[in-house]
Amino acid sequence: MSRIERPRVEPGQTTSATDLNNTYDDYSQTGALDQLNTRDAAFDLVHLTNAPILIKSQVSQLGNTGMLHTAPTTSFAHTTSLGSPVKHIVQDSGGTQTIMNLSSSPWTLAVGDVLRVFWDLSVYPDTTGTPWNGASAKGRYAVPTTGGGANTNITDGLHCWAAYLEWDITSGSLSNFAPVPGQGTFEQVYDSGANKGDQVKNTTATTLISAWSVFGVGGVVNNGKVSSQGSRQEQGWFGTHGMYAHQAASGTTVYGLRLVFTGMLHPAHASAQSPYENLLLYDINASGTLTYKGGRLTAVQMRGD
Amino acid sequence: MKGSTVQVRILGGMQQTLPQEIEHATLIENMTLDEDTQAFSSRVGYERYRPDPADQFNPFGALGRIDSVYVLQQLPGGARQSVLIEAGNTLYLYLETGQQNVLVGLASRTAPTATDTPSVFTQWQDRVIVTNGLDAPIIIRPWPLAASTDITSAMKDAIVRPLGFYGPPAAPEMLQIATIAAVTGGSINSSAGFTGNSTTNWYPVRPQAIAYPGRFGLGQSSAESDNRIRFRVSYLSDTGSESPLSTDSLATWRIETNNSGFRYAPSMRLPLGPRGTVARRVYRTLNDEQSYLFVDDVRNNAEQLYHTSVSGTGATAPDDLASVPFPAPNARVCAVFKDCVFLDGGRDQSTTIFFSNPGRPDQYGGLDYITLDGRGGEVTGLYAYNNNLIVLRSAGIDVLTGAYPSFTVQTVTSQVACRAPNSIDSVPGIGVVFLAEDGVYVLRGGLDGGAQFEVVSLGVGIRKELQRMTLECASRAVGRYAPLERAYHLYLPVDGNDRPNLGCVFHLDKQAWSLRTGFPVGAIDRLHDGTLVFGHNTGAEAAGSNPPAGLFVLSAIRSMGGAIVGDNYEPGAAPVSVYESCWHDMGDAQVKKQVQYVTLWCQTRGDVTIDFRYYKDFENAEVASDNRFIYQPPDRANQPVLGSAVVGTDKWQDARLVPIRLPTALQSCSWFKFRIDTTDDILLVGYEVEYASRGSVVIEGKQR
Amino acid sequence: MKRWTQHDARTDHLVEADQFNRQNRAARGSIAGLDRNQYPSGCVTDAMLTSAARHKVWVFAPWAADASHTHSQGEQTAYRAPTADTLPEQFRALTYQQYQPGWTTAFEETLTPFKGGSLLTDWCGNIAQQIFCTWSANSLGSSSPPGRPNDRNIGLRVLYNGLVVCERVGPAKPIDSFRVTCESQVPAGPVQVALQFRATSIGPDDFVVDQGANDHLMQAHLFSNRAVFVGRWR
Repeated sequence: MSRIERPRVEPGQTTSATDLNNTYDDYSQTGALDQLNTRDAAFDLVHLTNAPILIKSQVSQLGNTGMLHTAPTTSFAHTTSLGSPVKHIVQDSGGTQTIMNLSSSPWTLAVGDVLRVFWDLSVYPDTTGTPWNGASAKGRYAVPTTGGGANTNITDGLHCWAAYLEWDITSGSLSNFAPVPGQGTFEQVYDSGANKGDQVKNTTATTLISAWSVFGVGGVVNNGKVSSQGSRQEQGWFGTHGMYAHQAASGTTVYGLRLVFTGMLHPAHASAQSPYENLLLYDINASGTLTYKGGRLTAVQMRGD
Repeated sequence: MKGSTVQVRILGGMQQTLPQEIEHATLIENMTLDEDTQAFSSRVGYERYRPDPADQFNPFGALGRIDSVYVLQQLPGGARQSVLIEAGNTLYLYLETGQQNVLVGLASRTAPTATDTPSVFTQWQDRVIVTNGLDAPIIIRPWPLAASTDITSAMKDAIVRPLGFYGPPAAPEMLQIATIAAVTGGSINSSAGFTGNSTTNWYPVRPQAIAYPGRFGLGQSSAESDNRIRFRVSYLSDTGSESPLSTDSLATWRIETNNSGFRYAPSMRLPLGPRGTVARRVYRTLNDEQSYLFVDDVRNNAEQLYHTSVSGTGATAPDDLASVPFPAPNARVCAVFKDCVFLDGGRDQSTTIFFSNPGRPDQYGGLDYITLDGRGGEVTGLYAYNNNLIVLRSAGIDVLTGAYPSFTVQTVTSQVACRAPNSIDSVPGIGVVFLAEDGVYVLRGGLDGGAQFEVVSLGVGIRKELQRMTLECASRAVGRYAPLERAYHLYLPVDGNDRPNLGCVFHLDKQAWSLRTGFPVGAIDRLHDGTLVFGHNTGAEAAGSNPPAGLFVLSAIRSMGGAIVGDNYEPGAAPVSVYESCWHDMGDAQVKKQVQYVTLWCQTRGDVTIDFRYYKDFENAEVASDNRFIYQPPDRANQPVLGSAVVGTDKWQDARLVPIRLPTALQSCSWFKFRIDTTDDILLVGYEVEYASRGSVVIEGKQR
Repeated sequence: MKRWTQHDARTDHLVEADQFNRQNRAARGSIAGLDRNQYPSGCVTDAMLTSAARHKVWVFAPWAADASHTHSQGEQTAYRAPTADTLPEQFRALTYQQYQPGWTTAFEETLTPFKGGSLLTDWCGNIAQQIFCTWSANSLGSSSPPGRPNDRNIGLRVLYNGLVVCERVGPAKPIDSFRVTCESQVPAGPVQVALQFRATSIGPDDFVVDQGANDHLMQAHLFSNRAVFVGRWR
């Protein structure tokens, strides 16, 4: 703060030009005035209109338009080989990818700016048969059987599809999409190549979609025993959504955003190696399809403070 | 020719308006009133609150300007005195118990700007409420505390917390009641039928089955009866206040066919309350009814699982308006009156006053507020006085009377604008003194028994000094009555300065003003013994290494603080005390006179050095000065003085009232004034001026 | 604040200290408290705003339970079964052997500086929970189908300074994503936000161990958590 500390002129003091000039010079201290010289409540927010908190926003279509869960819809099937996991970019029924294209006016994130992305999609996971009961399917465990005898293997029912966010911060050609910070590609290799997936800590921009709901309805579960392997209850069409946020630590230019599907995945953990992290791994022995209709991808750039 | 004498036997205070009355003074600076003789004494100064010379300014050395000081008395006689300080962005407790000397940071607070009002502190029982208009009001109870190294965040959370409840509790989470499955004959399988999140706690009803039938368990017990009982909870704080009631939760169960005779005890998880919660209170309805009745107090803020075993209920629950979320989160000022806490609405509702339930500073009713007439401007101060609450506003003064919940407000004046809530204090025999935009005023009187309130200007004598006030920073002026000195001290920023740099002292016994200069008061309060303690107005913001910082007290020490020399603290020099008489015209300013002597009536002080100067006709330059005279009996042997008195030989002395006759040599004058400056002790009782006059008068006015 | 003429110096008038002081004092006082009507238009720009002058955004993506959990970012770690007790094809997470029913804090943070006003929370993540035993036959044998529901859901709620701002029954599928958005007015001062979850407690028929390896079965988990808080001051 520019504090002026100068005693007042006293009667009897000589009228000195030097004193007068020094007094006037008090008011011309270059760069000395700062926010502490401003009285409280001197400015209202409405006075500062050139730097709005919200900088940019955009909404894009995902998948197909229309509200009804009828055609056109888009479908894809599960991963069948660890060598080529499914990476399905959200697209319409004609195969045209539905991405948020910012290349005509890219968003430049200054340090501290926050990028917030929201998405929603209506989905329908389906399958035939009971792939979760296959001998090689993940997630099976043994429980006692009603009436005694050998244990029954039931499923934990935790198979899922995953939708995650990617961005292109390289150029407007949109040929360099990569997962956003904190998100992996599910291409880590585990157990000497027997498994592939990613650590759960790298799913910051992932929405998981339940593949099926399997449980022991009716009198299946009784007194801690089961009389069957349970049954699947149709989940039907349902809405799914996700949110992601990123605070730029350095200048970043965003040219495009897109949502990518993969699956089927199943929970696991690295039981052979410390720190025994939780994982999501592909289960190529669990078959199914995911059909989706459409939704929205919304992005917002705002000032961090 | 025969000389004449002007006698001023008893000195008055300052009077700067012209012409002056002869007993008044042009300037009294750095003087106080001697309590024995009511004479002006130069024994003033200030020293560090903590006097250890090797301690420098610890623990305050890093503090800049101290914005607020408050001394909280928690036991009579100062047995449990806590000093709270705000500096930078932190509220500190100065922990000096158990031989400690440390600052404990209690809470982050927004620092006021130079034009803001600093925090206002209000005592409630053994707690203090702190409001500053920017942060949420907090309530502090700084006792008991461990040694500073053992004070944890949890301990701080226990002694500092937000005032009031900011919302109702979450509804209690009812566990489902899994009723006993009907069994025809045979034994009851009590483990059957429950699922996750449910309980099966039951009591039989029949007298053959239980010692006190009907006392335990809730609801109907006959077969196929439906039971619906609703529960709500509230928090009880450590001040005995009750929070708003939660929304309700429903416990419902049905007694199955062939299964009569069971009453159930619904179980729930109670929410945990915010800091300061000491109990949760449970209310319920009777079966299928709407009114809530008291069930129980869970006397802690830890247990969550609660079983409603006993069927009895108590009083009706308070209605939803009895306690609402805290209505004044931006309150700037606060006061306690008629057992209620009063707060202003802050910048958002600056003409509204909210008040708490009596005895419950955290509990505010939905209708417990008063909206003031908008013409008086926003509330700038609240002060409880006699049977009223004084509401000082930016363009007037109102008074609030009555008792909870029926308070009323009426306007006393619309012309006086108090801008400095920290300058308000009650002065015995005078009234409530405060600094307004145009001077110092006193509010006195009342509304009972036909009395009236009046607002009287108190600062007429020093109006010229008060006009020097930096109006923008008037809110930073601080004032306190000092019982030890029987004086009201006011420190205000003047001459464009942004922090107090001039003191004005109103001496109660003389009803007179004097000035104090060189006292770096940033904020002030009084200790239990009446001593004024203040926080430095600059601290570490000053240039140089180890500038003075922290707490100081106004005392009779003959130094102005001190400085660090080497590694130790050394007291500074004594202040310069000044007495400047009024301009005497001896009855007629047109008549020329020759002043021959000034006789000062003083109590002897020893071989002190007093500079005596005299002036004529409003000239600034002195005619002459003289410091030859010592203040010993002029016609008796000198009294022994320190530094030369011999122990065992010299006797202890009593100060004597003696005339010190000082010659003056000036030619004719119309007006005469003298001045004494000293850094030594002086006790000035009165004076005389001897003069002669030939009767000649001034010549006619000067022409161009 | 703006002050007008206190003294007008004029030729042939007294060189008076007091009058000079009055005018100088008014100017110096103005410097101490410049007001809105004293600044030229456009003088104070948005670029001069100090940090957190109008608002602040806090981003936790992913949100770690605490700094020591570098391998479990975004996951609740209140319940994390040891690997020795966990099947390889399950998460190390909440088991009924450990679980104490009730609201459990997954993430907690003190937001500062908060200058009083609106605080928005936007919390998103994924959950996993065992739903096989969501129908228990161990009662009401006369009903059809026999048994009663043993509903599973992961309750979610957000608290500001200990007060519940919003609460959801929560997702019920075995794997699901969730998003909780809420806002409340909060007074000035540091705000302690807590994101809590509540798994359904054990029912009478729930499986808690695998009969093959005797490992504890994962019952519920919260992961991929990210949260954004936006404070806007009044």
